Amino acid sequence: MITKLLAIIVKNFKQLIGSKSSSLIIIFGPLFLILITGLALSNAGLRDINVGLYSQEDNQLNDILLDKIKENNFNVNILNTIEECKDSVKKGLNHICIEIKPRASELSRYDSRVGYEAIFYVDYSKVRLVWAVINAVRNVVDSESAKISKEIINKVSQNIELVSTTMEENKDTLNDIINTGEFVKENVHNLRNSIGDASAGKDILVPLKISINNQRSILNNLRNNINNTLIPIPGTSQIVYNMYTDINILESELNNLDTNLIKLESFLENKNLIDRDVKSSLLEIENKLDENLKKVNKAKSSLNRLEDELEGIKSVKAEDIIRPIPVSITPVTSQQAASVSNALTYLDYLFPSIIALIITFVSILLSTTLTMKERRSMANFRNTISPTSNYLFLIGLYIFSLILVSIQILILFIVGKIFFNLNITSNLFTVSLILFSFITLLIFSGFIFGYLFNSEETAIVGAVSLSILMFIASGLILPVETMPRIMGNIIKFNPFVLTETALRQVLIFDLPIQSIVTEGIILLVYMALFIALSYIIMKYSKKEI
Amino acid sequence: MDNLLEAINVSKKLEGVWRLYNINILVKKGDLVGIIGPSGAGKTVFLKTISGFYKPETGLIYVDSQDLNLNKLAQKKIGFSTQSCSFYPDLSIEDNLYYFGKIYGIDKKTVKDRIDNILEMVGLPENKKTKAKYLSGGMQRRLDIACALIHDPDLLILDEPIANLDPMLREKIIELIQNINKNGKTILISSHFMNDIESICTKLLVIKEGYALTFGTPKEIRDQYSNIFEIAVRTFPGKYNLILNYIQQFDIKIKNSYVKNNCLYIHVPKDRQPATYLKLIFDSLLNTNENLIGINLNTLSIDELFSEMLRK
Repeated sequence: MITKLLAIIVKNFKQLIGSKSSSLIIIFGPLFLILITGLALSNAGLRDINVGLYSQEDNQLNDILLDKIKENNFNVNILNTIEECKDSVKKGLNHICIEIKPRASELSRYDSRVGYEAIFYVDYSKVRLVWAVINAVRNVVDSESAKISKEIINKVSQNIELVSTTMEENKDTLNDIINTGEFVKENVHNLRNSIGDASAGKDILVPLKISINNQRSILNNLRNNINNTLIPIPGTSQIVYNMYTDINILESELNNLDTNLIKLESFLENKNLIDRDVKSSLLEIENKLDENLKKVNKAKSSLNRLEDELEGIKSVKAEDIIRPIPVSITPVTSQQAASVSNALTYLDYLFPSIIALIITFVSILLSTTLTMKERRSMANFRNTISPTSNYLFLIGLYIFSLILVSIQILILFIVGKIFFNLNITSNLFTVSLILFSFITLLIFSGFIFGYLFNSEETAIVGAVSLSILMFIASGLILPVETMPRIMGNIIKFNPFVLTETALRQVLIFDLPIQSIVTEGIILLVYMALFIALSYIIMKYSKKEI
Repeated sequence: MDNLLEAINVSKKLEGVWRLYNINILVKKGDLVGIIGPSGAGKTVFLKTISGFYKPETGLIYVDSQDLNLNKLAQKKIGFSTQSCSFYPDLSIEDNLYYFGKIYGIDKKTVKDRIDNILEMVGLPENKKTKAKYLSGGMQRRLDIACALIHDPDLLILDEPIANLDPMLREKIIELIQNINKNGKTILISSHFMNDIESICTKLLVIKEGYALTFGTPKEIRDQYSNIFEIAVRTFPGKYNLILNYIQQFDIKIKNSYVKNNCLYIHVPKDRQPATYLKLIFDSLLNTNENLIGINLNTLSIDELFSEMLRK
């Protein structure tokens, strides 16, 4: 069986080599493909983007944007009307049209450039390009916008600084007011306290009056005693007289004292009334002072709080206000991938897709064409009546196709590695397994077309349709996430998507084989399904066409 | 057992149309059997069915006592040369022969040895390395026969091997076929030129619209169908209808009559003496005032016999 298989494969190769153009296309086809793709995608940015710019009036922003866009190697075309600008996008002359339009903004007193807005007009039919262009131009505008923001914030910051300094100065004045107030309050308090009691002097005058009254009664007693004792005693008249005189003088003195006391009491009473009024006024003053001091203190604490806030704002950088949540984008590529080249190119990222795409078209078309060629071959009859099983011919054709596609893939890998330094040598075993499953299922799907249809044209149309279907439903043209959920779920099972996903994980992220088990199993199921289908269809296909 | 091929009640339907009806044939080793029939009669379908390419709807096919449909290896005993040639035009003669030898399971050395012998036999010893597509029509036919012989089959089937060839080339291929037959191969050859193959065939199978009209040796068939005289008369002015009307008055059973190349052909049974027919013809000439230019009385050629068979 092996020798028969070998004979079939060798025969196929001899036929291929017999035709120089066929054998050359096997080698040069992928070579051209990778070279052209590689050259086209071996950069990481946009080039030759035409930007249409329209502004109603000359303004500073216009000039700045113009310079900045030019700095980014974009071509700028100034247009006279907005319609002209939009039309240029529709006609494909410009990739984007920017309209600079005046707008009302409070911030324009800080910077005149803020008084304008930029409106982008884009052509969404250029699906894959439009976002790249928008992003690129927006980056230019955003960077200028951020610059203006920074300048405005710096100006606001300066104002805050000024407010802060003024507040500091006013805070001292406030402190002086508080201190003076405290001092006045204390003095008033002391003064109020220093004013005596309303009953001051009474405690002295009352005992004094009692004492006078007591003395007066003593004098009366004395007089009575004299009368009773001395008068009867002869010879005491003089003495009594003298004594009466003294007593009368004393009494008169007491009366004078009493009169004076009454005057003093009256005086004291008047004084107390005045003191009470003064004290009441002083208390009122003290309360008012206290109230004012509380207010001033409150004002001071508010000022302090304000100062703290301002102090906090002063320490905030303008950059932090412009970008309060800093965003940094870091590629999640593997260490190894990143170390190969610091800046991975589009080609690096697209290589799995390119490989999957090339394999899809080449494998399906090659196997379909070979099957049709074999079925339409003059020799088909002789092969069929030979004692060699038809399935052996199918296996021979499969191995031959597999070898051809593998040669092409090998060329792609070698050229990609040597000329474009692509990171494709890691996980070679896993990559080979993925590619083997994918190529096998595609080759057998090509066999299905080859045996299902009886004319070469319809078979090729069928094969191309399947290839295109797999390509369209892959997310390469439109992201799967933008499609309806049900479609997205179906597309996940597209062998192209499974292979591309698995290749990306293995080639770009350097993930181990365990991470692609699901994709691998589904691919193997597909492979078995396609092999079984091609077997059945071959069995029931027409022997002669 | 001398029987190499036996087909019993073989019927075949293609794309819903019955192409063969209960065909029977028995081919002995060493036979050279001609399959004759007009285009579309089912000759090729029959040959492809007995070669195992088509599976018959009914009937059995034995090759060297092995059921062809049950034993794929029985196909090894059959070599087939198709009408349109069956080889790879982009391969050289040698590569074609080597490849077909290999897929018939022959080892490398034997194939290599056999290639030279066969090329010698078919008269292509000098062109081993030439690509098949660059060969002339006759050479391609020879190569196809060589491809059919590379695995040394017991039965060689040749489907219209002389079709579309000039007379000289036709003769050479016939000669080649005879040589192969002489070398011990049993041959089945189809053609719609009965004349060319009748002389070399040991047996003939006549097919018409999928039915086997007859199967036997050429003599048996000739005996079966050649009980007819053909009278060819050329007269002036050539009012042949009058001649025919005159003859029909005398209870003569005319099997067929037609005018070709200004000559009247009349087929009559051999149940009367030729002189009777000739006398009748002369009488008719006198009665119709036709002037005789020429007259001929013959038995039917094999082609005429064939046409007669088909006409029936």
